[in-house]
Amino acid sequence: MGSHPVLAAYLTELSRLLDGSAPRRRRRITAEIRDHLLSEMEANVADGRPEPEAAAAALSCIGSARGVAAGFAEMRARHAVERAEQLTLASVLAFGALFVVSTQVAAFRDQSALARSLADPLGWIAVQISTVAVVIAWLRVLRLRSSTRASARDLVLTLRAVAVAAGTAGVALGLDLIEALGGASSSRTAPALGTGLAVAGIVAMLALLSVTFAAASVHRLSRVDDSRDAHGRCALEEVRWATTAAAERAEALGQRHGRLVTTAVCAAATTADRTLSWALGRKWHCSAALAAAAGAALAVGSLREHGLAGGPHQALLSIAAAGVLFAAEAGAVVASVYAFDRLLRLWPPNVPIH
Amino acid sequence: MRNETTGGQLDLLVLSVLTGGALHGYGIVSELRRRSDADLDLAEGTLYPALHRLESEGLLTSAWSEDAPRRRRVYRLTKRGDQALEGRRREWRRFAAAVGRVVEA
Repeated sequence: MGSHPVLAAYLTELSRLLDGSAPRRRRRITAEIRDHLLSEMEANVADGRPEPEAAAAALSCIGSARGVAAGFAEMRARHAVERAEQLTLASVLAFGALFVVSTQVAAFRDQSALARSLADPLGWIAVQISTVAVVIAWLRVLRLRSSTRASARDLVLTLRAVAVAAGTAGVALGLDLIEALGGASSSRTAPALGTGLAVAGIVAMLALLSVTFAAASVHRLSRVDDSRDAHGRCALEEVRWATTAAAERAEALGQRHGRLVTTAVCAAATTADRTLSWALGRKWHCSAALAAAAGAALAVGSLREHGLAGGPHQALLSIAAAGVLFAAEAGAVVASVYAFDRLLRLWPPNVPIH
Repeated sequence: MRNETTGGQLDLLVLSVLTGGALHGYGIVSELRRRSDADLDLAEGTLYPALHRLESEGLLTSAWSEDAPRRRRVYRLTKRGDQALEGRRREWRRFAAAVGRVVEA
């Protein structure tokens, strides 16, 4: 019974489909499935069925080898994507911290070529892109954790967000690293920044490597997963899911600590939910408003910095310069939204969520 | 009952079955059938990925057992798994009660 040809063929097929798993794990899985099939078959034979029928019934109960392999491939792909997201989050945080230090801390700001390189407009755009992408990826990973089964499509969309974040942070850090290696600086703060940059660079490299491994895992899943769940969620659905989850947690918290917390957080979650629904129907208006707000902030900042000390014409020149920056910023925001929408599926095609 | 009846509740079912003691995969399926009077008929191929996932989350622990006629991987609930089961039982009761109120209304 142990060497029934139908079972042996099934196990060979399963082992083939489990490619990508470590050999030890593959042996363990096939041994467990073999034991399961033999136990089921023994029970069927004990019930009086002939051996071939008992084997066929056992196989029917456990399902196709492809289905079993898909379950394991999904688990592996999900872990790989989560790991990539964690490393990417670390690299984006490190990149963001370096940017903040270079632009906001007086001891570092403009003190070295490296600080100036980190704080240039390219760095600012890279920080924005990587932050948005990593937040989208993080929300998607959280959502995947709460679902019993993730489709290859879900994982692909999550991984795209991770890849955009890791890629942007990696390229920006790489350019800064080249700058740092190219120009020796005698500044007192340069070694500290250089060390930070090296650490962030290593983390970004690890993140990019993990994205590559995760992509391979997701690709393997898409080969064995025959379910056709091609429903890709838009990023704002993830945000809505997060607000709903927060409201649920608040409700649980409120049951222990009183209704006030529940009411306040539920009201906040509901407001966020309605705002998102409203924004979904006006995505380009919202993008333009966001760009305008950024431009206005730049203009106000410029006016506060230079004031009217140089006379009204100087103030007008400052505002004009801020206006040019605003136009560039607006273009960058709208272009980013368009690119993100194409790549990460930020918005649903036509239908707003209500 | 059809397989999808267990949809989303596989972890809860597996953890609950293992409160009775350590079991191997086929034992878990058999115990599930027995406790549900064969009303719950699991898609058995989905069990093993779930067992491996629960083990990687630290809710189960497993080891090879040589007692049986052949080597078997036996799963046992950990302390963390026990705590997780309590939480999931509470969620399930809340969910079942809510559905019951709607359906029976």
